[in-house]
Amino acid sequence: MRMMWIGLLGLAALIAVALSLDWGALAHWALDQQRAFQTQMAGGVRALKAGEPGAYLALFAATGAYGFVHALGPGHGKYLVGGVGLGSSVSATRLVGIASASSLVQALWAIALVYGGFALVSLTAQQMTYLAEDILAPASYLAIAAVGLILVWRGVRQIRKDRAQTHHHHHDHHHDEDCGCGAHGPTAREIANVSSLREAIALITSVAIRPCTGAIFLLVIAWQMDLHMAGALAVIVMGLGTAALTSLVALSSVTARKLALVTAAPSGLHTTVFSASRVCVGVAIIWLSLGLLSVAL
Amino acid sequence: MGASIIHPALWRKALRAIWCAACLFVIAPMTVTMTVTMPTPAQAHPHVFIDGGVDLVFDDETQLTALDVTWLYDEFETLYLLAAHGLSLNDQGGLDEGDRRALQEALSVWPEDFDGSAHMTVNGEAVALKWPSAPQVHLIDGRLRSEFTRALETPLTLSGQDAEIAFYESTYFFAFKITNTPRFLGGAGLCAAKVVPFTPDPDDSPLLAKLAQLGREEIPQDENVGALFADRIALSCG
Repeated sequence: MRMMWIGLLGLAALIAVALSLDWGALAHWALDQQRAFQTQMAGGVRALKAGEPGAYLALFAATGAYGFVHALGPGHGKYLVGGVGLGSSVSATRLVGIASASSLVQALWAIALVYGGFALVSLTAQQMTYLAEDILAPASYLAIAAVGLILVWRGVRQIRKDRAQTHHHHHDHHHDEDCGCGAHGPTAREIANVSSLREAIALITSVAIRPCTGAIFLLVIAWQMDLHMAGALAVIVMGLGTAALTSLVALSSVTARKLALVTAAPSGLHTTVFSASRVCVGVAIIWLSLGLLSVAL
Repeated sequence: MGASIIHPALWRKALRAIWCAACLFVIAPMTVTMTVTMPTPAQAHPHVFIDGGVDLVFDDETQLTALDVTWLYDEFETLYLLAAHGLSLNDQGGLDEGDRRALQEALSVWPEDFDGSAHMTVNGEAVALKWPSAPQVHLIDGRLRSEFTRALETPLTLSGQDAEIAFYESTYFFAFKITNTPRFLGGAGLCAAKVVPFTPDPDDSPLLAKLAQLGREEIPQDENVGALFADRIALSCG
């Protein structure tokens, strides 16, 4: 019972924080910060070009910070990671791993794309930006929408299964209480989620297909200014910055799910809450990604 | 905890009610509003931020003959612009003269729908301006400075008139900001210029949020949306 109270308080605190944040102001703040860090990146590039000491450090500090604040805006699979954290029984460690991997793979993909595009097929900078924004971004949104669809489908399936089960055990009043005490209930009954490598790879890919525009711009600059190595390393550091933020989202979403399940467990509603939240989250993911898709097309 | 004195079944009912209420009135609306109102800064309009300003050129008869426009690109956009034109900084972090000329030439080719970023009105009537001329491009302290002149189709006497210059690009792809104090070149007579910066209005935030959703290739529905967010120069001549 104490667990439940703590959980309820924690959940209320999370909701209060989410409600009190001015998301629009936060987005604008992030945008201002991005511009400031872009200016620092430019300073780093100029310092590198002039062979100044400490130039690498300045560039990496700027790109790491840029990656972090840039990921505050939608995209970068942040809502996908958050959604999977809320709507599946994935562990925090695994989700942090997936979030970090997707950011790093995204950075590596940007490097491969820009350097490969310049070296192998001599694309122009404009073609590169076009490829990222008009082809890969929509592809990523579609893939993310597909993940949302899977969440909805699994949630609905679980709800139907639960209903069938409740019906079946109608006369066995103790059944629910016996297996429904504590947060491990639904996880034990769930089919393993995001446990297979294949699922993890699907999640990582759906996010990473779309390289970040900031990374593309920086790589275009680095290629043209003959700073290939520095540019590639700087973009990896940018990916680490993004990974730090998406990992925070991963941790908080898993925490929120656990709190919700702990508080719902004594009412016997936890499986329903879990399945319903999965459907909600899935719908939100589909809505957001299709919204972004319609904007991108 | 005092929970033990309450019957478990009652507890369960109460918790069910709390949960259902929370879902209906807190979590669901919150998810919906957050989902709907999230802006997407990653690909937002505006895309390029440019500082600068407008200087006023007068002839000897205190008639306004031209507007000298200055753009200052931010440092990152400067590097991207160089790279996109196949240019590189030299070892001093500057631009070689040959490269500078090449860039100046490239940037002098204006797109056909270019609106020149300086929009002048006298008593609310638009003043016709000629196509940009005398382009100058320099790299100064890591920022690209582009200057060009827009001559008036017919020189204007401004005394006693209500004249204004708005500094914007109509689709808001570029966000301009007046950072240079307007200068008077030539025989301006008794003129004064006052910069009126754009002040954000809470009523604009839905529009800004909508613009933030636009990608690089898209044009806002209101084709003159940039005018809404423009810094302005108010001119008064005695």
